[in-house]
Amino acid sequence: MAIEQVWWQNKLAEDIYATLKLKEQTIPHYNGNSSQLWIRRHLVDWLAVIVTENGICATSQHLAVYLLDYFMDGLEVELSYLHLVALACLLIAVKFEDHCEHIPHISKLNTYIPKTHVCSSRPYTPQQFMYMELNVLKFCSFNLCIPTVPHFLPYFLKVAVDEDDLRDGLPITSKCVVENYLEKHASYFQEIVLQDPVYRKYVPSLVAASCVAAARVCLHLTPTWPKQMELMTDLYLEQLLPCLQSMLATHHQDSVSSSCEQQIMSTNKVDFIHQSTLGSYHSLDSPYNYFPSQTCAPLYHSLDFPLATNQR
Amino acid sequence: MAQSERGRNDSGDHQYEEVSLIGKGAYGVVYKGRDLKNEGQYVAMKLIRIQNTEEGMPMSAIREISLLKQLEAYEHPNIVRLLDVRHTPVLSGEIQLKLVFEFIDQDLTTYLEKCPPPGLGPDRIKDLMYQLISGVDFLHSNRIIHRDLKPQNVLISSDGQLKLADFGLARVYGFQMALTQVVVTLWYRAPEVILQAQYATPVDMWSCGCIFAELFNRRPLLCGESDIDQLIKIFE
Repeated sequence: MAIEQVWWQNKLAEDIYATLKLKEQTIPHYNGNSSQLWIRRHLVDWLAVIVTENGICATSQHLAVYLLDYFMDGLEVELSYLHLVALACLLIAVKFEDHCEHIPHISKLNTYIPKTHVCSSRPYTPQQFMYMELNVLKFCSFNLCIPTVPHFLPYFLKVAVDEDDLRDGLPITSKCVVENYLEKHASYFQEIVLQDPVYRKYVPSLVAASCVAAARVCLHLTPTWPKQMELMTDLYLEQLLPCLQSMLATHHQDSVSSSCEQQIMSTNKVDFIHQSTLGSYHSLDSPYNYFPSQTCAPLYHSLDFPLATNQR
Repeated sequence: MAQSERGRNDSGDHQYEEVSLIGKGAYGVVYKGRDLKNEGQYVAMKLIRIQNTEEGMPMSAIREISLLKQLEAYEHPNIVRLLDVRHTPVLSGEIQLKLVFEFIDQDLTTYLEKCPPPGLGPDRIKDLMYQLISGVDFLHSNRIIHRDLKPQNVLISSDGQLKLADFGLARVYGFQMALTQVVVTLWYRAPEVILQAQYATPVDMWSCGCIFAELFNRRPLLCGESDIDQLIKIFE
């Protein structure tokens, strides 16, 4: 740990931050007009289950969803191949970002294919995986050095709590405890930004900063956006507002609909979210029956889940 | 869709001609070749055969290609150029990946072997070390650790330019990344790697130090025969 702290303070962290900030400016424009957006939420939640069960890190998860989004944005994929595309994106992302022992085996990945899926009786072959991986890699021109929200969040969290912060107007008693809570809340927001492609219109550093701000709002910390955060991120609260508001709106719906607000607000927030996602999967075998229920972003409420039309 | 990709990409098959074998690595063969579309200029081609395994595309190839691709835009003078990536289907549904690099005459090992006694002068060593550190510094600020720096992976062009090559073990790292995977060829391996403790960018600097000594001595500094022997030699 001592080493990490030293290395944290050294110039390299600043260098990396500068490189990531520069790099995020080159992220291609996301159109978000794929005719298959209706199934995106299902795929993302499905990947989240695989990620949790296999101990895959957040940077891999976010890169996988990024790859999936851009692939679907550029190409219409045959429905029977969409799960394969999602798995190939995950495999590539893990190989690039994660520790090698986290790379899931193809046979293991096949077990996650929903039972009612067209290909469930005949699992995808290693060859199909290989070609799909190659397709995705070619599609993104092997450009995998993509900054995502979890690249920035740990950096921002280092200064996200200050001794002088007020909680409900009172001085905080333990910086360490508040830091712990803040980290959990921020990673919850980091998780929900994957659920809705609306967050693609903001650069990842802004989304990461908004995760911190949203976590501070939830914990009733004031000021919402302290000076040290402003200095570290080069972002003002005004710039965060649109993104921050969507996040808080999603969170609000989350807590109202779950009717377990207390549980959500507890320290086990992230675990709870995962369990609820898992729960819905175990109870429903078919992905197409899986209505992204009440926990989802407003977008999906208006979509009416066009199930019949897409299964033609 | 996966099916239709298969026959398509053979456009590049005739662009590169193999001239001679350079070497065999852990996951591929390297040839010296010619780029027939570019006045027959020499290239180095790394051929990787991808088998249908449980792992899919090899991690090392994915990392090497994507890391070098993202650095390409900067054209850093001390990083080897990746010119092209091709893939062709081979027998029984396997794929062959072809990585086309700029051709550099020799690696640092050969360069040192060919160097007549009494070896390199201080100015030459200073210049080489400066280039080596520039390359490593550039990698680190682009959040890349090389993790396999050794004279065999350091190339020296005929005009004395030093270039880092072989990114098969390289990876990106974040702000809070605890790496423990055992990497780096034994003789150039930092103690924290041998002890399987957490490590970060300093492991590349350790290797640079070993190479620095080798530039003077014209032989490796610490030639351990095993992990423990390597540690003993380090602490001697």
